[in-house]
Amino acid sequence: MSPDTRQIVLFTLDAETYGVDILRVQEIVNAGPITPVPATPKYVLGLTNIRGRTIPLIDLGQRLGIKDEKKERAQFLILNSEAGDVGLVIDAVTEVWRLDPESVSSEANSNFKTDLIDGVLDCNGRLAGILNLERVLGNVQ
Amino acid sequence: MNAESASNEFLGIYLQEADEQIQIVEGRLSQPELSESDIHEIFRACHTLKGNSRAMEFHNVAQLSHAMEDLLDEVRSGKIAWRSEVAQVLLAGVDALSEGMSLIRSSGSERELITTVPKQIKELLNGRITRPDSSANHWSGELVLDAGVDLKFAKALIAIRVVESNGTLLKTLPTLPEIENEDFGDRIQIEFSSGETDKIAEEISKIAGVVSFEIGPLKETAKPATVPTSQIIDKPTIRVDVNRLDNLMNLVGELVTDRTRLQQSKGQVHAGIHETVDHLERITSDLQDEIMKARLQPLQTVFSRVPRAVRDIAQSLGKEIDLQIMGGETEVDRSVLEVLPDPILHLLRNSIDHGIEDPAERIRLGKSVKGKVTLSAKHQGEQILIAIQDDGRGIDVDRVRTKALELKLVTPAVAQSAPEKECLTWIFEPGFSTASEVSQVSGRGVGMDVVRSNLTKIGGSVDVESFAGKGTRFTLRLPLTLAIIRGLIVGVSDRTVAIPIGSIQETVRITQPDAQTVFGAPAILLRDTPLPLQFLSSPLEIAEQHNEMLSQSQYVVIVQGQNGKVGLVVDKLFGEREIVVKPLSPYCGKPKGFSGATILGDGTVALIADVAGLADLGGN
Repeated sequence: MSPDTRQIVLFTLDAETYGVDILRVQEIVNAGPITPVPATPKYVLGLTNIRGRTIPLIDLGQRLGIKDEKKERAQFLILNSEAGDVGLVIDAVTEVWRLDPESVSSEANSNFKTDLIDGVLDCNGRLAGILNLERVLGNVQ
Repeated sequence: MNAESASNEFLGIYLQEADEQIQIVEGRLSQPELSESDIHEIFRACHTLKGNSRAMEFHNVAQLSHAMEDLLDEVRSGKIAWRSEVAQVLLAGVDALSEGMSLIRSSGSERELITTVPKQIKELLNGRITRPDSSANHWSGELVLDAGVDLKFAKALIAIRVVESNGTLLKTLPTLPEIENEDFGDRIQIEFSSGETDKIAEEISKIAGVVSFEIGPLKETAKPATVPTSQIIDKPTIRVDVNRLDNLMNLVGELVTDRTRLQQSKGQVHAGIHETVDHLERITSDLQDEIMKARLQPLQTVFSRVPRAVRDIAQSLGKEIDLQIMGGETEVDRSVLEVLPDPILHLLRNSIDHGIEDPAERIRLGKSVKGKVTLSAKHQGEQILIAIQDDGRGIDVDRVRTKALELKLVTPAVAQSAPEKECLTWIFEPGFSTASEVSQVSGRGVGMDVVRSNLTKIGGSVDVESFAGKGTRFTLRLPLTLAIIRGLIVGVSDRTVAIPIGSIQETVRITQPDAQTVFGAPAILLRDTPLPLQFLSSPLEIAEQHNEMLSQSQYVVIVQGQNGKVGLVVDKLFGEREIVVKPLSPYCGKPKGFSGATILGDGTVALIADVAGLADLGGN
């Protein structure tokens, strides 16, 4: 594996697959109780306790605007960000995809009507939207 | 490695260490009396700073600290006497070093640092004075007597008389009575001041039985300094990343949670495990205490900057100040420590500027020329008390009344009739300043209100007492830590919220659903006084509770808001707990009425109520 190889953590959200750079992933934990915080955007679900730290959680479905209502899901994908660790509520992590920079097909992005994804990956026929975490997490604060 | 390529991590460590060394130098220099060990500490700090700066290729700072080190080395070896010029030039060096650090912080380089200090030091070293300056002609002589001589004590006393007739005897070692009893070996240390050392040496050498009498400059012996720094700084310490401590704290918190769970299930498991659980309980409690203590730092780190600041302020105002500092060893959580420098310096500035009279006026009043200012700290229960006291003129209450009226802070009736104690609290109102002219040091009307608001923000308070003609005392009360507080855990619908105990006045159970509304806002009569209510369900955005009807099973938690009491309506009371306060993630914004979060015994997260914010909501 060349040092340039990016690794993408792939996960599912209902029938769709998304990916984030593995360097941004702190850990993957099973979903636990969430304490809602008032006066936050709808997609900020609240706080959960991960080994003594209170981590804010974001409902990715609502954040991406593809789901209207929040839905109970099985896993929290904890990511690091400038504003501290934050979790995405997802169904399940499926695999880690090794991405050779030469085979990136990310030019496809402009044809998808969102700036929340950097591009679309073809993972053996399955399409995965690679999240632009700066945008997905950036406007939340 | 040059500055540009130095990784941020190294630079961070360098800056942090440099600040510490500069602080040591400044702290020690600010003491009224310097012991040998102080000089040595300052030397070591300069030496360390020089080495570190060279490694980082900050040549200007390295050169500067090198020069300071050279000067101190001469002082240390007695080649240069300690005097005010030496201290002055070293203090100028401290300023230049600090400037270098801020240049590095802002631009990553200190190339633009311009200082004449190395040149000044060079001049000092060239015009080297090998003897103490004439104003302090203090000497120490070692008298060695022939061990076999008769009437040894008499020879010693003759020698001492020679010293006395040619100067002033300061001290002998052993003491005079011991010498008279011949309770000494063959050596006596004689400390004296005199301008005629040659004559003394000559006369003593003529006494029979005297082997030798060597005179050298008297080295300042350690005198008890007003600032007890040594016992604090000399403890071995290691540097630990604060984040790491926070992580440890989190883990301990989890351990405590597990302990609670184990304890609760004790009844259901084999009896043999009880002992283990009890043991675990003790260990986790101890661990929690220790981790908390690891976050504590002595107030000295703030206090050590005070003498210098006070001297500068006093100088600029043409006043003389006798500053006393006590309780620097008092330890507080670093989160509290960070808030303190500004309020303390501001209050000191205020005391010197407004409290202490001009020297001429003090003489007229029969007071000592030097104004006395005391800064002291101590623990009191779960709080830390810091007092700033002066022996100045006190606060003119009548002027406070007039001024408050001018500023329309109060109605004429209140301005006239309010008791003195209440009047004094007005000085903390925004825009208030009793100085008739705006001065450079204090004044402009900002400050006192900032002092108060900064302290209230961290759960502290400030009181003022004034004694006309005799002085003013400000007392700051601060929590020991911001990380752990006692909270009342309450339930609203299916949510749990922690309310800081400090802000709760009482809790009452609703006996009859007699809520009324005033201008549409709910209120009840509590002991014949109307009490506005705030349903906690509303700031929590619990939709189904919006009918806002009191039921008999509910409780009212009465808290003190900024504009009076407010009753928070909750469903359940779960009791008091110690809770670890965690700030809200930026992702959660700043929800009005809640200031943080905590993790409860069952591992779930609960929000911590911000009473002032909730009370404000109630007023709407």
